[in-house]
Amino acid sequence: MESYHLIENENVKEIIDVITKEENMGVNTLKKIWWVALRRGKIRWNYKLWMIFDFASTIVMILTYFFISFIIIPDELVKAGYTRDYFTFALIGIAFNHYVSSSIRGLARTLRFEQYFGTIESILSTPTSFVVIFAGEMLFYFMYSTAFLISAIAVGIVLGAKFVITPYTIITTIILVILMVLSNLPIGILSAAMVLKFKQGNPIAWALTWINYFFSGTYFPIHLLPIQIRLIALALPLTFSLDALRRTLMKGDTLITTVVLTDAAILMIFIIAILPLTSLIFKKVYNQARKTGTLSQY
Amino acid sequence: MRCFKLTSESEVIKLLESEKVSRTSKIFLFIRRIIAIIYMQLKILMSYKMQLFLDLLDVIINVLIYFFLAILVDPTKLAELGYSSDYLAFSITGIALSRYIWNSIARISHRMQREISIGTFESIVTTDTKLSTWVIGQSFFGFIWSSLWFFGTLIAGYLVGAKLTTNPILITEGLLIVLLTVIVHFGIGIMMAGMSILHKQIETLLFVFAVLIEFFGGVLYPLGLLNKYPILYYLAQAFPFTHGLEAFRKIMILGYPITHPAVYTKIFALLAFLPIFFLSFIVLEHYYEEARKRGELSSY
Repeated sequence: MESYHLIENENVKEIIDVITKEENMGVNTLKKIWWVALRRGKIRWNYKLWMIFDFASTIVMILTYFFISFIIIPDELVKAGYTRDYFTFALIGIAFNHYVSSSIRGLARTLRFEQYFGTIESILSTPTSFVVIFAGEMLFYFMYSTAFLISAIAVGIVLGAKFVITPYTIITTIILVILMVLSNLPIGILSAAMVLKFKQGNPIAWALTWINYFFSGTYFPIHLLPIQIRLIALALPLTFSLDALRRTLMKGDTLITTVVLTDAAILMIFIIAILPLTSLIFKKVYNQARKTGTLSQY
Repeated sequence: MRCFKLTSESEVIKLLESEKVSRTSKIFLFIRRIIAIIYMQLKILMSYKMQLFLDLLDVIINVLIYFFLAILVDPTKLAELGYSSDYLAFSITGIALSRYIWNSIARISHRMQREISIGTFESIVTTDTKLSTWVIGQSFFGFIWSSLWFFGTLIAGYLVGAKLTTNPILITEGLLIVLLTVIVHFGIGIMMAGMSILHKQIETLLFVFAVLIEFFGGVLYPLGLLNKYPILYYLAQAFPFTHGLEAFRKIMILGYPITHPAVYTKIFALLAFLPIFFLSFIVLEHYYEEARKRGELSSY
């Protein structure tokens, strides 16, 4: 790990050198990914206040649902197969939904940002592959969102959320989070392609965030939805991710439990079926933008 | 009305630039300029059809989320806390008013920040039009656009079963409360817009303000629950929005008239914040003059 570290006083310029100079072509890809992530981290660090407020707003949202839980009748939660604790139910929904949306939307947001300020062409014309640069960007957003997620859960525990924490549930949760991220990644890739194509924010990611909030059962169990609407919910990977995570963290179920295993298998199907397709779409849009010279237009 | 009609962008620009105006037509010109700015913004907005569609989707999904959440809420507990047993009506009145206020406030400084970042702010303030006229024009448009969101949410909520009053007199009284709440918060918006001329990235502060309004205003939960935590309860009373929303809910959900003690006490509390409105223009001018002296009108 030592070689991946940049000492505190080193300049961002050194990181830029690594990705731009020809003589650095031989640098280990993993190291490049790490440095791109570090570059984004250093930029973000300049907006400390923004980071604090971003965190504070999620905490306030958790507090809001903490108060709402006082007026909830938990019978419907039990019918859905969870415990009677609405606050823990909502906390898992809010924290993991935020995790998915902020990490997945990071890619499109970065692209739009670079596009708007005219730096995208310079970055993408360096000898470093765009896959490496985007992997680095994604790595940063995942690290940032993970720190965020852990803090949100810690705040929830302080407020009285009840989690079943055993070595088995922790391992199951880690596997489910990886599956959740990979199965939702196509949405991020698709919205990044939208940014390249239409030069607009990222309406797909924005709309899907709201659709996820409603259909995937962030605030209420999806069995309350009418059957026709429930079909849309079943087309979203987040629905299965949240169901499996809630069963694991609220009831102590693990991957050897049929329901959690089924959820995990469905997430695998999403990954195998959709991830390659969206990667292909992005590649096509990216190559088209390069050929037509519209990469830097905004 | 013919004289208010605008036909093209060039006419809008001409209106903002014109210098030679007789005294008698000054007020008339002021109104025309406000309309010109609204017209210009509408033209820009109509070119973002996708944005319009997403806003509509936002309204529908928001209402549906609280429709289903309402199934989980215990109506007796809600009624015990001083409202009706209808959580859907409770939550949609809360989100409609909070979003209305937030969008309107945020819009003023967003627009100002945008003009600064694309380099057009300096040109706008060097026209004959006063900065406050430009800000009022921007704000009027912001309020018109937010009003669509506000009424859209209430109507969508009503259509899915929220029990809101249909009495025209009570609705008018409810709208008066909204107007008063808007005026108080309009002042806050103008102050923040003024600050954004000099301190630029004011978005974070706006963001915090929106979050605090939503939490302390009791948008999604009855404020009575804060009684268990007195510090939070008293903090909530320091927000003008809390009083505006409480009065609006008493009228729209419980059907109380404006003369009911539960409503007029909230109106008095809201009126106590009214000086903010008058103070805001002084703050705006102060920051504008300061930025002009420092030559930072176009830096971002």
